[in-house]
Amino acid sequence: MPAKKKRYGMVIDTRKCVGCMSCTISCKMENGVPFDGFRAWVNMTERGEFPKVKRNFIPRLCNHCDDAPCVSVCPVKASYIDDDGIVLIDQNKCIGCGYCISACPYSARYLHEGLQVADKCTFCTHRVKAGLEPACVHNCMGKARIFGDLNDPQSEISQHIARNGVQTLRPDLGTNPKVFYVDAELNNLPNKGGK
Amino acid sequence: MNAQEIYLVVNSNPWQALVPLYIFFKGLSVGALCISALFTVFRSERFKRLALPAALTSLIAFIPAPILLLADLHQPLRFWHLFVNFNPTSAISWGTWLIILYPLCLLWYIARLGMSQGISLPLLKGVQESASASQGQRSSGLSLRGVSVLTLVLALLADLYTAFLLGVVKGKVLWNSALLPGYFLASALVTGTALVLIVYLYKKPEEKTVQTLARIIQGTLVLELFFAFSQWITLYATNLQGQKTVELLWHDPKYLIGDIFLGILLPIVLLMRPSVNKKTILTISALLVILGGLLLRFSIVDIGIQAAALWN
Repeated sequence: MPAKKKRYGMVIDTRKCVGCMSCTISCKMENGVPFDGFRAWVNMTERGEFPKVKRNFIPRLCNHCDDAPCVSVCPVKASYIDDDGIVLIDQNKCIGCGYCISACPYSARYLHEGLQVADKCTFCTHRVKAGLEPACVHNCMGKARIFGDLNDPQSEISQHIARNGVQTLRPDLGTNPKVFYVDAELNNLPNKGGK
Repeated sequence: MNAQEIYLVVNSNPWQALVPLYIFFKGLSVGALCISALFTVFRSERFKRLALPAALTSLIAFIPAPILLLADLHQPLRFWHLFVNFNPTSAISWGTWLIILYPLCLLWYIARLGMSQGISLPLLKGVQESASASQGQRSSGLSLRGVSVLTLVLALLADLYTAFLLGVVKGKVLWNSALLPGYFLASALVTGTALVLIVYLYKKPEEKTVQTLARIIQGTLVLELFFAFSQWITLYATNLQGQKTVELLWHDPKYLIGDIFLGILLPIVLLMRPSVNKKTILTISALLVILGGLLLRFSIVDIGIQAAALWN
């Protein structure tokens, strides 16, 4: 029986995130992300009234959607999903029209000011091919990020998803993200009507 | 319990002024062509004298469009990638071919229209000669009406594709609306007609034709107002994101003062009793309509991006 294809994804357990931003910094350093763009970042909200206040952290990155809108709108097929399910950009093909950046509902793409093409998280595919974890996962001090093969039921990520209730961002859009959140309280964010 | 965002990152969107400007100029061209087509397609004799000037206006209005589009690419020298990598699910892929075919067909249309009216156009001499030769040989060349229908269809598609380009984007409620194609088309028609009216006013205008053009502008402005109202009501009723979007629209002076008041309501009133003798009022009204159409494109693109960023 042929081996099942890999399908990489990530779980972010927000219970363990302390908002240290090491993911943002390590991503910038690993991938040479320019000053005004972000491949990985952490949104923060505060809920409650003094003295009962809680700060929530929502680490963000490209969701590597199975039905990625950025791929379907790219007029030159520069955006594509590779064999391992990672959404990538062929930067030699990209014409810098910005349509994929507008089409991404997660604001995960930006225009690389140096290269003048679209850029985004690649799940550090160069590290993954070398058998390493993405930089943000490797450097997460709270071990809030788990990266692995969603098609392997024995992988740590699959086990974590099976044991915990997970959510994705904007499931209503039907993009089928491969980045999952544990305990993210996504629907309680103020801009989504949360109080 | 209170909740507030204290740190929110939104990657900036590269679509700045050039995208709405491109949509505007293309709309202007398509609208002017529709006036020309009133004679060539719909056989309205009143517009016979106006058909060629309107078509030429359409061609001139189109000239900035491809330049703006190319300038908006951050890798303009790679524009040829668009021709060798067709993605059927991308509106831009379709649009690329439409904005190539439309002006080519428009040139052909102008040449044939000029020939039918016995007018020689020095810049289109070659096109006119080849069209004349194909007519002489009784080959399978299209008649003027056939060319007109083809040009009109391509023009409408070229205008509509930008509405679909925005409309298919997920998670942006302002763009993701079935009203947008109609809204854009109405705006294109009204701005194009306003431009033709300005051109016509300075070419020995006939009273009846001026009145008809003014009525077309008024009627289409009312239609645009209908689209605006429908958009507010449906957005407000949809969800919280829709409500925030309407609030952003209403707080945007480009939209509320520029488009709705100056670009729609004021011209509707000013065009109540159109007459050739009121050349200044007609010109001001037409300029306001064009300004309104321009500001509408800016606000739809800007607010669409801003509203989605709130929801990021």
